[in-house]
Amino acid sequence: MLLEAWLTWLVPIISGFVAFFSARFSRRISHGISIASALTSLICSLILAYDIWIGRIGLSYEEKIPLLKGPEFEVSLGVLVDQLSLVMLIAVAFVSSVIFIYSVGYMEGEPDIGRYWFWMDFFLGSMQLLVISGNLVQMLMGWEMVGLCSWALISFWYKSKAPSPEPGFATEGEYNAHCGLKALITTSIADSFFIVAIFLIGWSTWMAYGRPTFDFLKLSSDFKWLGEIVRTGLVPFLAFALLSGPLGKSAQFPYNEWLPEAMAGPTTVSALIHAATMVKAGCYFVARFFITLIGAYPTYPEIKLFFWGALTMGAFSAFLAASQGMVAKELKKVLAYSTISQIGYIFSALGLAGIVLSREAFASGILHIISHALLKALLFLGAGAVIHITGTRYMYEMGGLRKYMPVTFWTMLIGALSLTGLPPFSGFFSKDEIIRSLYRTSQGLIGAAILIITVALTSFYTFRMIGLVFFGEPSDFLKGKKLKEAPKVMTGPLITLAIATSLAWLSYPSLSNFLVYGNFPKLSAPLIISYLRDAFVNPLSLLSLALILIGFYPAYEVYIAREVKPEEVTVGKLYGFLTARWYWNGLYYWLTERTRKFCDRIRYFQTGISNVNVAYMLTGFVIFLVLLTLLR
Amino acid sequence: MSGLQPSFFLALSFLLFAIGAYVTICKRNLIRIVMGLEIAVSSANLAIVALSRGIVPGLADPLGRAVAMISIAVGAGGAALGLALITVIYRKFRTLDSVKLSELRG
Repeated sequence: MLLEAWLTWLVPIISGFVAFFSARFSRRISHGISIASALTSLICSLILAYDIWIGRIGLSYEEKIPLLKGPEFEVSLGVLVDQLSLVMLIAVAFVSSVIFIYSVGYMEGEPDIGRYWFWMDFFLGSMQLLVISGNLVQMLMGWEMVGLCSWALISFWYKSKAPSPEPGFATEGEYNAHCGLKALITTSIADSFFIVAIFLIGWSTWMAYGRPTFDFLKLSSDFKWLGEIVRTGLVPFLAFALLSGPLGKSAQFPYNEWLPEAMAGPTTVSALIHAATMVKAGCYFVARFFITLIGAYPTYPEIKLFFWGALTMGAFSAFLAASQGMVAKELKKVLAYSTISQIGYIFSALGLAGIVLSREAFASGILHIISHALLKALLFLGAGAVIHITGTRYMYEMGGLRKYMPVTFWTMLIGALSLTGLPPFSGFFSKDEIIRSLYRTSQGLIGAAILIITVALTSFYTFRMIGLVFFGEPSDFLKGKKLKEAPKVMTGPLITLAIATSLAWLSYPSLSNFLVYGNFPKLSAPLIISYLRDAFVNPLSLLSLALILIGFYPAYEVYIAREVKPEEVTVGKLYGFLTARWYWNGLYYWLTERTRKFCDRIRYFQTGISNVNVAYMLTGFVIFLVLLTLLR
Repeated sequence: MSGLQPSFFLALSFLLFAIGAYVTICKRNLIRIVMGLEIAVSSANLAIVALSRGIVPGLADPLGRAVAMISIAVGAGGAALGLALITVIYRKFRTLDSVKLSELRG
């Protein structure tokens, strides 16, 4: 048994329980156990990479233990190590370790530290379980565990008695609980379709091979099962239902509304959700599905519908969320919208990979996952430091923090530059590669146009955020507050992530090769130079640099130099439209309200009298029998 | 056994079940409801026994009898559980009227 592969997810899950109980005796032991578990997960992932490097295990290495065993049916708990899962494992474990260390400073004085660490460790373990799983059922397990953890962590401060930030709630705690539930319900609706799709896959394999199977390797070895689905004409349904799960997890349109509310939790949780665990699960599934089906496209081109969906939804969400991010008032919400937008880029790349069967587009999507994980963790942790010191989450109540928090300012600036896609930070390379691969094909041309316009919006909201927080004069809210740099345990992770963001692109040429062909060429000067030439010497990257400038200029005038008042340049109607989030959020609340009213009307069917219940049951039974005889 | 066909027992079983269902739906006293449930269980047992007469004339199918035995035992367990619940309910609410005990009203 390959122990390190199992330990990547077992250690965090087990130490979650240990950390929970040890928190009653000592906070320090609890901190130590959790950080050690994240580091263990990282080390195990690195050992796995080393195993592959020295050839101890081949690629697509699989192990499994039967979990449920029937005569014709087997569900197993297993590990599947290949390029994709390996890269994801390392990225997730690295970002989580940094966030865990930062938590020690951020959660200082938090009484419920045991509960916090339990869910954080469990979160990391579930994500690693999801990433390393070799079959759909285990993946679904990790998928739901991740969802559960996100619910518990978003509503972590449900006991807070402070006044609510939004109208309609008695206390802040109530609002936080509402936000957690919103995330859980939205993703659950998406997941219900996802589960149906997994059943459909099981049914089709049952039809094709005489026994249902969910293993990725088996699904990718022979595509008779796909033939069954094509034959029965269920492809559109499968594509819709299967895509629904990733869209929900990754907060893409139409399930995008839960992510901005998910900012109610502690900032470290937001960082973990955005950078490492929750929203990356959706991208990971699309990538995994692409790898699994890579041999099927010539025979069954119908399945490309799934990837068309990913491309369309991704490109649209990228634009939608970026436009909403331009008017957000809370610091963390800007970052939330930018996550939706950047995940949209990743979805577009992965969707395109499926449509034109391009492994390069696939690699660019995965690389953008890494870039985004690093830069978003950096930005969130920086935002956490700012919120921790100033005590407010609204950007208009900040300002002028550049002088007081230099380390936070410079690290966040690096993250922001990487987010806008300015060289030489890693965001530039992966983002431009996505746009380039979309531009090269006729199918992705519209997507490329949308994404390149989004670059300008991204640049605007990023610099608006930096300007509002760090430039100008301190606001009235901050008068009389003692402003100082965040403690070392918080700035250390920031510096680590800033260095990683600045240097990660050096590994991209080799990593891209590894993802596409499975071999890892050594880092060398000619490789880097040819990579740089590809990245810079083309009209598209110049165009995107120009668009960054176009977005930067108004942000500079209004928010950094503060020469123009924001009110003078605001278009009222558009502003209202964007702050109302294109009215989608209102529509969803209206729908839930309608559902509640409808349920109010039919609730009198439930009398609570056992005689009536028995009568209902018998009636149902009789109807069932009648149907059974009629259908026979 | 010679004169009575399985259909007769099945009809009897159906009648018993109808009585049981009637009692469970229409009576408000919890003890009566449990009695009605027991009648319904007996009707099922009767049906099992009636249908397990076996292929060889005069010999019973042991599997069917065994199932009936188990069913009787389980039914007795169910009745005991029901009565125990009734005792607890009476201690807590001082009533056995199922209509008054409707806390889960919509």
